[in-house]
Amino acid sequence: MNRKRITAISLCLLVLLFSYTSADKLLNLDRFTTSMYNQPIPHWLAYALARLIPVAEILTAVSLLFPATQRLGLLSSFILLSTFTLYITFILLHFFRKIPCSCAGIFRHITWQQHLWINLLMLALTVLALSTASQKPLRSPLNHSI
Amino acid sequence: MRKMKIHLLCIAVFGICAAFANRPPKALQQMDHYAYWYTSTDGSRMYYLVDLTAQGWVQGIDYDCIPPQSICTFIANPIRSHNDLSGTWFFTWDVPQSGIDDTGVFDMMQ
Repeated sequence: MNRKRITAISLCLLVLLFSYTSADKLLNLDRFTTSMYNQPIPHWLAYALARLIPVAEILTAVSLLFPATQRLGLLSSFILLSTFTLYITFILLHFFRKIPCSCAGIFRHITWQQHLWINLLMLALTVLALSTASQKPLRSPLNHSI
Repeated sequence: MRKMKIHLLCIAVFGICAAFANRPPKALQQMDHYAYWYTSTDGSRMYYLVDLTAQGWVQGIDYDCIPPQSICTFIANPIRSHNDLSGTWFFTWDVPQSGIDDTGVFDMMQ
């Protein structure tokens, strides 16, 4: 499988990930806010993040849809996934006093270890797509446009 | 906005539809929530959001609500047990009488 095809698949998976998780959080905002309150962070920050994270995810997904903003979307994806991955790593290393419950979507049904592996995979795909994007403008093999 | 990758748009729509299809079932009636912090003996804290209506609590009998509707207080029947979101049951005398959501005092349960 060549690099271009892997990049195209990465983009598809990232769009799916961010559209699903953002919609899931917004559709269950009460539940997500409760989950955020149970994270080992200050109360005011949990409330703010419960609003900011879904918005950041939507913006990332939308950015990935347009070739002109794809690089920005990939950078945003890199920042979001790196932050989540770092946070999960801290949790698994018992950096915090308790292990909180996980947050949203399919991720509330999986363990923190599985969550970490998925994040690492998505992060690797983001880095791969970013490196391709920085070489030349992205051209998907499925490059239909409207 | 000149060019949009249509297959990515389809995937995004699919993601939103999947999230919509996977959302938790909606309660048949208007739901009132009672939210509070629980502090364990080891000092760890857990935030609970209790769905009163879905659990069969009756407004005006078991609890009362003042505007905004999310602010509710238990007023009667303290011996009824109740399940929280983690599946643990408790009695109303275990829950604080004042705090709801982020408007109350949360360091009540020691």
